[in-house]
Amino acid sequence: MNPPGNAVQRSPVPLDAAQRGGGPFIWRFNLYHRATHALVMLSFFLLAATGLPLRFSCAPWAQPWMRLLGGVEMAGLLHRIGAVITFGYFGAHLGYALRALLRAPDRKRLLWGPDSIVPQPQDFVDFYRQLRWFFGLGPRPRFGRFSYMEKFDYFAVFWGVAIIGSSGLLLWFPQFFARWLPGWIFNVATVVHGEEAILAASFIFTIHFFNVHLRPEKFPLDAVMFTGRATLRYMEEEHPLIVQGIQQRLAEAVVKRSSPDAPAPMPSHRQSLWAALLGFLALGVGITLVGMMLWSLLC
Amino acid sequence: MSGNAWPGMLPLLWKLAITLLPVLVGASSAAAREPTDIESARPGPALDCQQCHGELELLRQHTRSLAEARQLLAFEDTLAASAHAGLTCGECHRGYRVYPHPRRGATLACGDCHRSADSAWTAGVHAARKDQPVLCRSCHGVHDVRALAGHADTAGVAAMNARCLGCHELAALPPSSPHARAVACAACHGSHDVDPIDAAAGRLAPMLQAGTCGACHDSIAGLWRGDAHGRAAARRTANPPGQAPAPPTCTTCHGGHDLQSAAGAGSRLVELDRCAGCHESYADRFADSYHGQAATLGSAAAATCADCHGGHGVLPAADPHSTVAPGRLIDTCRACHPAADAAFVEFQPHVGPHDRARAPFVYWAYRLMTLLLVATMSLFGVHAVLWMARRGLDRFRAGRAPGSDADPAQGSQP
Repeated sequence: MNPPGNAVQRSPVPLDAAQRGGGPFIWRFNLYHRATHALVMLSFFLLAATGLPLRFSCAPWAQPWMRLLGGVEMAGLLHRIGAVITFGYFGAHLGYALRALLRAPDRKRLLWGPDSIVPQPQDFVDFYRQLRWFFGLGPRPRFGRFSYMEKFDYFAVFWGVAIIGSSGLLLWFPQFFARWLPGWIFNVATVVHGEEAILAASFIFTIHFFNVHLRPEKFPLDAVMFTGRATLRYMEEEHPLIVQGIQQRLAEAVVKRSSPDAPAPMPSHRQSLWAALLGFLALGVGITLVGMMLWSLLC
Repeated sequence: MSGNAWPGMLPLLWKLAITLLPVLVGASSAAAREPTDIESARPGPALDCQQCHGELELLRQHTRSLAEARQLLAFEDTLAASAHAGLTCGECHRGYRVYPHPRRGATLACGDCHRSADSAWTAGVHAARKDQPVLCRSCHGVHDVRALAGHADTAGVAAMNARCLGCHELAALPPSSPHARAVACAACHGSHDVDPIDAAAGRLAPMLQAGTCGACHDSIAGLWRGDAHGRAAARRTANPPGQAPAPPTCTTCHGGHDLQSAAGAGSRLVELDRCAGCHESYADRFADSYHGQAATLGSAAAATCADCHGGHGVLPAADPHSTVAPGRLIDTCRACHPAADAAFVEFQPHVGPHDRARAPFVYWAYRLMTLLLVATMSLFGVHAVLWMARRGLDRFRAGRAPGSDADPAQGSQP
């Protein structure tokens, strides 16, 4: 595998942008993060695939697609299963976040600064600097653990689940909610649920895909959320502000296995292949769904 | 040639004489004396005619072509099984008593007996084709005329329809049609006085359909006459047609030959389509509702037009008898949503996101969501495009600076 004379260890699957430079690897996401993201993916694909044909029922692909899913009733059942998964990971994550906050040795570090996922003025500065970089007026901004794009993605799920989830529950149990709410709320819920779904699907399948996988630095795939591991070089390029801290911790003697920033083994060839397979499958399905939405605009 | 006929006839006559000897002792000698008078060989004139007209080979010997021989072929069994059982050959074919037949024999026309059918036929579209009229025998056959009672069962209907389809081959009802096996073409189109489909006073003229279809579907025709569609049709009959679309009569909604059973899987989509033909704006907005979306995609459970408004007996909401009248709406919704209450039925099945006056909340929710969509996608869309442009420019510049193998990501950093 290692060509003679090449000092840098070659990555097992060079498609993964998180393996750039070939190592050493650190843990960026733990098993819980990855499992949650996998559930988000699974439920989101399930919800989009079963919901979009309803929203675009006039589109030429809607009827054959519904037949493929096993009919409207079956699609409705799958959609509700997707909803249950969503409420499940959402509730679990609220618990996880609370637990992380209560147990954190350094709570301030979790809530503020380059290690925090909380949006802060620095993110707007980063965004401004990014624009300046686009126009050649300055260097690329140096991101912390999470760039403003990643923070947006993260909090967009909260917004999305709140809006789509609440309107979806209204539409799931209209007779129950009509005990307290006026009937026109279901008209509003139908519109809000559908439009927010279009926003979510459009955003994830284009913007999220671009920012995470398709932009030139990452193309064609960044599997860090599947393997959990990234190289130091990746961290230096994508999240330079926390690299110094990572290197300090790497120098420490004992680190809890797979805790963030701990040294990680290089993903095996098999792990990398599975991660790439899953990543490309998701990219393909997502881009197909965007194509179907765009197609329906023509009708 | 009559000379050739005799050797063929002799054994037959001999057989006849043997058979009839016990009953016709006196007459047989007369038959031998006067062999040219066929009628005298009674009792069975049909039997006598059969001796020649039941033998194709024999007929062929006396005719110029096989086709002509076939035309002269007639079996007594066929006649005995037909509506004309009991008639003798001579009752229609007059003047053929003697053999050789005189040139001027005469066969009665059907209308000589069936006068009312004949005059009806004269008025119908089949007689109107002067160059090539559709004659009695085109539908009824010749000697195998089927009695009216023979058309009552499924086999009789199928036999009758097969005759019509002999010419109108594209008019066959699809097997899915509930009329396919049970209803004769004539039941809707008329029998002897077949109507042209567009005849102003024909059975299938819009305003007369309730009568024609109502011959079987009488209660439904009655409901239609009293509902919004029927009343509009009655007004239209009284007044000359204006700009408004013609009120729907039976075939407007149900179609004709493509008529489907209401229980059929495709009938909901047909229903949406047919109602949308006139109620376009309602149909468009319905299509944006969950009911409409699910129904469009083939849901059997989702309500379509008739589930709420009724199929026959459609009435405006202002009419207290209407299924969507305020007093009855809860009951109508409860057919599917058993716990529906007064608040539940405030749901508007027909509002779209653009009805600012009727549904301001829906309108503003849609505006807000669209704004959010456009803003978010524009912001990050431009962000992505600028990113690609920056990297493209970096790569272009790196390519122009020979020997530079710096990573473009680092390249623009000072």
